[in-house]
Amino acid sequence: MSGGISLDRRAFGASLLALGLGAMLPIGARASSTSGFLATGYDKLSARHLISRLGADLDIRWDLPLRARGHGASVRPRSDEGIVIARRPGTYASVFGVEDGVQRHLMTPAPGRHFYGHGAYSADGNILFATENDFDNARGMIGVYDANAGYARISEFPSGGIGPHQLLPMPDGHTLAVANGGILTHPDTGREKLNLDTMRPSLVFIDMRTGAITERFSLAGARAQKLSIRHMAVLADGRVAVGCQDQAADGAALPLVYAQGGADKQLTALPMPTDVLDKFNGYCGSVAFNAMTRTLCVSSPRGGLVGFWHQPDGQWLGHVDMTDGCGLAPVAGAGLVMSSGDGTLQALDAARRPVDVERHAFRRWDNHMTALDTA
Amino acid sequence: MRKRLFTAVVLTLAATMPAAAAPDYAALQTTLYEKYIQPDYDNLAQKTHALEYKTVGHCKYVGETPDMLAVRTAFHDAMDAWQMAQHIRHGAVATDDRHARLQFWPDKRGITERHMRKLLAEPVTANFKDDLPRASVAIQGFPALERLLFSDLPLSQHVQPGEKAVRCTVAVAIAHNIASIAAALKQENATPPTDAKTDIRDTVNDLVTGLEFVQSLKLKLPAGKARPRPHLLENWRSVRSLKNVEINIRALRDLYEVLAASIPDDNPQHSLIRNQFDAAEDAIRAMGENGKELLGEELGPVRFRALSGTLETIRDMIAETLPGHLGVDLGFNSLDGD
Repeated sequence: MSGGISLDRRAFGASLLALGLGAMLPIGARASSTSGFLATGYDKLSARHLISRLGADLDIRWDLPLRARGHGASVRPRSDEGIVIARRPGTYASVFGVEDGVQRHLMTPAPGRHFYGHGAYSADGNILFATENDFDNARGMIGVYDANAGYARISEFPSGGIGPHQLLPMPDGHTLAVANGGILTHPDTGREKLNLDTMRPSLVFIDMRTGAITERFSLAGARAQKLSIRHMAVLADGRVAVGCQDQAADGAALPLVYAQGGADKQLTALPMPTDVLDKFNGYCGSVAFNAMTRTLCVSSPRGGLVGFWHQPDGQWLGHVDMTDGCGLAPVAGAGLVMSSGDGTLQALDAARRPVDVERHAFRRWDNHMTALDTA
Repeated sequence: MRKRLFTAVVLTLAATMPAAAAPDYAALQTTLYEKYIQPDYDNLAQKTHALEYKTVGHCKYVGETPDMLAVRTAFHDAMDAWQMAQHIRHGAVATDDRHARLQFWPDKRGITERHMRKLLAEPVTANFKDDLPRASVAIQGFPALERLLFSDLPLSQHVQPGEKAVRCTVAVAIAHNIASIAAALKQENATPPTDAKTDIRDTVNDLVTGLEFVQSLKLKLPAGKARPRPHLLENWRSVRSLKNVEINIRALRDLYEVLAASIPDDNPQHSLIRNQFDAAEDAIRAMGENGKELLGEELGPVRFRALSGTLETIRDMIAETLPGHLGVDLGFNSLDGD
């Protein structure tokens, strides 16, 4: 624990703000040398859901128990805090200190809304955006929260589709990329999918200052509308790559990983050997991009493997096996850390060779990891 | 896609297990509760009630009956009952931290010791008994009570040298807390959860986790790598570390038999699992109850590690066969991602 250090950091940030110098911090700097990861998980012995801080050495620094299963975590730029959002239909979001694992705010959704599991901060860290469900009107929404005012809900705008899931800030500083999975659910029927016949997934760009939809990308063909666009990563050239989950049960193996670049605002499938695509079993878990090695990484817990593509050419690089592997976090420097539902954390180097492994017995690592110091 | 996954699972299973019809989860759950879970928690409630009664009795008549036999016997009976149910980790016991409140263990950093020393260094507050359920889990359950019942200092109504708390007041409050939690568990387990399939899946998970808990934390860890670490044994103060393991193996085997009831006796994997359980039971009986003493013997750590290995094999075999047979998936992300 280094509570004292984090206090000093807070004091440092506060004094800069008092002098009106907050804006002098370079974008993305967090006024700290924080390294390691955040990971949601489940402790089998206490039967509790947690968010954990992992060190670069893959050891657990702290655990923060959560009131229900967590999903995606994000780190607030220029601060020492992070947020974890409950898995859909999410009824809480917890803001905590990255150094000490102490909860600072507990957010609950507005009436008639629930969270979808992911949030994203504006580049200056002042605003939090969260994907939400306006369930009685069957509309995906983006909730807007003031991180400087105790995460008060200050606005919302439509996500441009049904079932928004992951969202990410784009490098231009004012655009949000939102994956509209296309699947309609209602809290009265839990996680049941209500519109598989009519779903229309999309990747949408939204101007976070106005809520205006500036671009919309879709998948070509009727069958591809069954591919729920769920997770994504922003590539070095500013394009977005997405990983899909196939909702059809016809046995056809459609491509699952796409990137911007097709004609007519359609997404282009990235190549993948047929046998690996079969193993993906219609399901991508997490998507991550390592800027240093220009490698796109997509996990398939059902296939027990992670696939890699070089960018920007989209060339298939190969895969590594990872039983029940889902969470992916690029490592500052070069490699990647993968997490598994069996408690394993596996670090790979830039050439995707295993360099470190740590198995946390009695722990199940959940869908996502977040790097504190991105590559 | 789901259809394809299902086909793949069935094909894999066909090689190892007889093709099973979809299990009747509700019927299996009823058997599980009637034969296993409810009797275990009934017994725990009864034995912890007796423990509270004997602790109160001891403290009331201390001086006249200074020997600890009655209250220590009641502690052992209650611990026997808890060890039968220790591996159940989902459902009512997962509510309000009940599992950790009954037994905060393993405790590698000595948190119980630190909290107990602090507690005994100050006079007991007037509301101590009422406040205990909200205090640190480390002072609420069996490990805290064990320190008071198996101590060099007497369990007395008089303050002991160097302390300010009355040990009897603390012990009675802890025994009451243990009995209250056990009573709630008995009551809440009288009605099984409504989603039978999820409950069965969670129980299979508890079985596999329970086997790993015993083999890794109760056996492998105290056996140590370079040298034995006897203070990492469970309940070394009350000299029952290996008795716990014996009870655990029996309880885990009973649970396996309930869950695997529809597997034919002549199934080869099923027979292998039973043979391994036989071997584990023979080994633990030959090891006695005093783990600390055995770890001090030259071949002690080897015997700990050998039994740990047997239980690991059982765990792996059950994890490979039972979930498929019951049509449940132990995967976390692969099963139910988002």
